Amino acid sequence: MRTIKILGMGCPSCAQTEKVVLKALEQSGKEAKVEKVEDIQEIMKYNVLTTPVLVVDEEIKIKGRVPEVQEVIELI
Amino acid sequence: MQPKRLTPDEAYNALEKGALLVDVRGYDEVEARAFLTDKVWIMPITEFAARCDELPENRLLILACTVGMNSLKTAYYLINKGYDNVANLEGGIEAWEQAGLPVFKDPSKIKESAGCCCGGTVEEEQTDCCPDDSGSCC
Repeated sequence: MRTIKILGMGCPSCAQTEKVVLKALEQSGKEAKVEKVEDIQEIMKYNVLTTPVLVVDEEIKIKGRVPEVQEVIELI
Repeated sequence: MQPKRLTPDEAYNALEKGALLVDVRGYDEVEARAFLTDKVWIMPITEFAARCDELPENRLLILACTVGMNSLKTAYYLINKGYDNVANLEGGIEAWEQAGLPVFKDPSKIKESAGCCCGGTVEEEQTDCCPDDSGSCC
């Protein structure tokens, strides 16, 4: 099972990214462990300056914007 | 390693002793309201990764933004790059101004699109970042 992390410090776009990810999982029927990471120290382990960031299996896939549902489906 | 966390007064005193303030807000925000000191470099977060090697390693670097969130990210970013004398201005220019420290203000250029903790501004990334109407999300 894939692990999806959403990095962001709690701004609206980070919350929107989580909704998009959950919708992508629902639409695709795939299963994944979804984790929100809001702690700045944890976020900065990925060395990113813009959030939200979508991380799939510890690989940064999208940063600095809210992804589209179809985009996430293709990534997972 | 973590960045030091400085209050506005601590930051001001550090500047007097040779520290450098690094303002990571966008140019439009800086034009509207700026730290009034000659010891400040403007390096917007959108350019930060490309330009941060310009920063001196032999001075205390105090990262600053609107409220202290973006600057905290850039502070960690510098530490990850090997800088070991890095601080964050807690509360950003908001706290700096509230503490009565010098700022330059041009009211004609003050917009609702304040800095955003995502790393951009509402205007720059309206469809992606902070899609609410508040102007500043954090």
